Amino acid sequence: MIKRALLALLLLWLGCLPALASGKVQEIKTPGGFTVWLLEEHSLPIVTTRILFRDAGSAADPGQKEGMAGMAASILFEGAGPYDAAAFQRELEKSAIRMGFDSDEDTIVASLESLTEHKERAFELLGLALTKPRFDEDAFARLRGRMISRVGQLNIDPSFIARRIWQRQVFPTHSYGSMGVGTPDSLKRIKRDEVKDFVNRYLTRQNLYIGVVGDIDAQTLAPLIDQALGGLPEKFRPVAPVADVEPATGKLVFKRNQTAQSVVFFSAPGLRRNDKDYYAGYVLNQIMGGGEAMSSRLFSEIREKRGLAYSTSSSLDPMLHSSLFKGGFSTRNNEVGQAIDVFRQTLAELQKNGVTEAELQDAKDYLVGTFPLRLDNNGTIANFLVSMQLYDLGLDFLDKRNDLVKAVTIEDVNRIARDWLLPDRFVITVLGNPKQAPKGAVELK
Amino acid sequence: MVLFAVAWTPWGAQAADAPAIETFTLKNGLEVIMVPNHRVPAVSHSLWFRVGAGDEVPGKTGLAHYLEHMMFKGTPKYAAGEYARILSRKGGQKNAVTGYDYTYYYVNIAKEFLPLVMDIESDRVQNLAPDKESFPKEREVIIEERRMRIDTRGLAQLNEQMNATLFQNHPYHNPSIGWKQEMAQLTEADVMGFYHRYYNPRNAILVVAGDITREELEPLAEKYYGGWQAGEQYERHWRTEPQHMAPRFVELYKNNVTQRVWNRDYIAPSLVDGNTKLAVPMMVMSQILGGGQTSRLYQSLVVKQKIATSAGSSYNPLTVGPSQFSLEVIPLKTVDMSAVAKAAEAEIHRLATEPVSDEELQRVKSWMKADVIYDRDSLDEVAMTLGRLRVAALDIALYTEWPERIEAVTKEQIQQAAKVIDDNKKAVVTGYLLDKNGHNPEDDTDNEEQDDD
Repeated sequence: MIKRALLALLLLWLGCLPALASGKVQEIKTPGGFTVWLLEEHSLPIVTTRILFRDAGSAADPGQKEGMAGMAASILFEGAGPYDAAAFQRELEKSAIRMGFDSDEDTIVASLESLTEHKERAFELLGLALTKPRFDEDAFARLRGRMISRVGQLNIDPSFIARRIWQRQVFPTHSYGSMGVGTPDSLKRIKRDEVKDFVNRYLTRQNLYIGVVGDIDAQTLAPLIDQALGGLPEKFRPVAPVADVEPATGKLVFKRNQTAQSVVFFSAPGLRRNDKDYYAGYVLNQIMGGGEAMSSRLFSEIREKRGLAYSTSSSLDPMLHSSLFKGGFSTRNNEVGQAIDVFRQTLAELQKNGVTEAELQDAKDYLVGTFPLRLDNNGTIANFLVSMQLYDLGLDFLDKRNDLVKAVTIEDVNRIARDWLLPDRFVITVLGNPKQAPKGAVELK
Repeated sequence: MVLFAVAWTPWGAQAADAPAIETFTLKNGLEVIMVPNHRVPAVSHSLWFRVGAGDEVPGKTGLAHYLEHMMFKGTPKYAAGEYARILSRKGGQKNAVTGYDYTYYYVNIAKEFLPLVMDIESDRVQNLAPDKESFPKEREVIIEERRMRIDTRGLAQLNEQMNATLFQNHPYHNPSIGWKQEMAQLTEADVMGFYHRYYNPRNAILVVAGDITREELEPLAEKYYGGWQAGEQYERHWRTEPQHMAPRFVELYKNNVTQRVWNRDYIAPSLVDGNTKLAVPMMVMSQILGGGQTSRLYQSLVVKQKIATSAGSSYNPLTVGPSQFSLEVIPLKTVDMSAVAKAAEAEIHRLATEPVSDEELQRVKSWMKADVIYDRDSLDEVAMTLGRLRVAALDIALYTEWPERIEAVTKEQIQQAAKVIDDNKKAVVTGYLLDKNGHNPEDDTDNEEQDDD
């Protein structure tokens, strides 16, 4: 009798599950002590994995050695265990295993995709890369050369130059203010042993999060994880913890550069990921400058009505140790002054008078309606699984997320606009070649 | 009325799990392709036109792309702002792309809104009527787009110059976004003329992918697109390339170039143009020659000879006109550009004269065959590829039988493909991105875009 009641309850519960994810996210604890979040998806013979290492990103680069985290991530692809770089890469290719290592300011992420039939080999090779990287001299020299080349190429891109200026203006002393790609000088200063040391300190059991999506079950996955990652160092030993930081506010900065367009970046402090008002901020940003919908305030005022720019958008960008509302636009040199005025007026209008009910509903509908579309592939879901763990969003976040958006009220949004979108708080940086510098701007030499 | 319906069960070894792609054609000539994928309750609706930048008349470059922008600017039924708002409200993601051979418009959205999307899309391909003022305004936007994509980017400028130099007569010689001075002169009459002439069902393909069945799609396609007037089938008569008599070189000098770039483009056959039998072998050859760090170019130029920090090749077989086989090398500071050329040519020559090893061939085939499976991990990836095939009038079987086509490539064919490039000494352009500083300055090209219009 009890069994039947339980079965009925189970069926009732299953019937209520929205069709967002094809199953439920499981938290697995492997015999070896790893926690893995798994979403099974058997419609495709593919297994997709993300391993995220917290606080292992470019914010941890030592002073004068920007690019360290980027190097640490990239060197993992350049030979492991018995395989030098070319041999390792051939092993991946012959089993069609897609592996990559990326870094941003806060994290290093290892990505792995394989066909079901090669999943054992895929995990084995990933484990080798993470626990037995070779740091061969020639591979390291090649990697350094490649990264220096890359910066050289970026240094003639006005968008990159503008971003570098903006970033340093927003974080004058914090390591968030440098670019993760480094500079030719900083890259030349980094020694191979230092990268080795970085890997040992920052890619550890203590600061990792694992997400797996695809054609595999918990029973099969657990031993593969243990075998692959068992050799990781136990303790996370950062040289110095990355401090939380408030972004700088209230600047208008100009740098002259002979380029065909003026590039403008803007930002102001934003809500942290776990702030109770995060979703109000998220919805507000969608109204202010959510790009895709083509109906945001910024898109409407700067592009649609005045044709001043091709692209303009904003985002709410929470980081581990700070947060920003940020965005930008590129415009004709001799109209950048006007574009900045329009931007400020748009902000002021939002901050003072808030949003309309129609705008709010449209933004919420868009965010809710497009969410399932984002879950159409293993990779995006696996990325979610690791960031859900990173920010403690809960196992059922994928099912809850739309309710969080729907719960945002107009009072919430207008309050956030009023308190956070003060035009004078914004840092605005301009790189370009207008006849005259924008009014009131501090010009950098 | 449905003329015929054909179903394939593709994917070779994965047939058990494979989706059945189906196609049918309406009486007015609209070809409809359905790609089932029941993973999420959503669909991707993309409408493709077999017309693009390559079909612009001389003097009116940029028109196809300008029309693409104006397609978002309203009909009597759905005003400009309304179109975007309605779709966003329903959680639709939308965009459009203009290429040389095609233009496509897509909307990805929850399945339940497919009829709404079809209503909107079928309306704007028949009844486009933007306000007069929106034409000049959007013309400013596309000019800013050109600035953003090309005029502020040295490599993009180099690529544009190389195309214009490589193709001596074919429309591919113009940039698909247009030359700026011509873009600035385009009129409302130009845009609407292009629209009325080319945007009809005979020149169009509808691809619907996602949580859909034929039973659902057929009546919807008939209801919304069945009334679209057939119009005239557009027959392309593109100007063709003459015999090329001499290799060409482009040297682009920009400020502050601390990292030079060496590029080379060869005219090459495609799946549609020239010696089409070589196209699939050429894809495999390109992967071997320069597809990544295990490739011939990388191992030779970067690892062994240490004259570059990266080296690779690329090749697109899907062009309706002549394709290009492209090389890119990032040389070290002290290396002469002619040394780069010699080293790259030596690798091509080796591939042309010596068969590849069994290991190499098997490894590369294994890598390439897996693409068809990885592509399915997406709502619209397969649909996009099928759209590209059909706008080039290629058979869908080319994609559904992709693993077999790759597997069938022989060592001899790879050598033949490499030989075509190796022997090509004239239909080729080499481009350098170089530092202006220290070089004899001519016009200050970085200031070119000042104070016009």
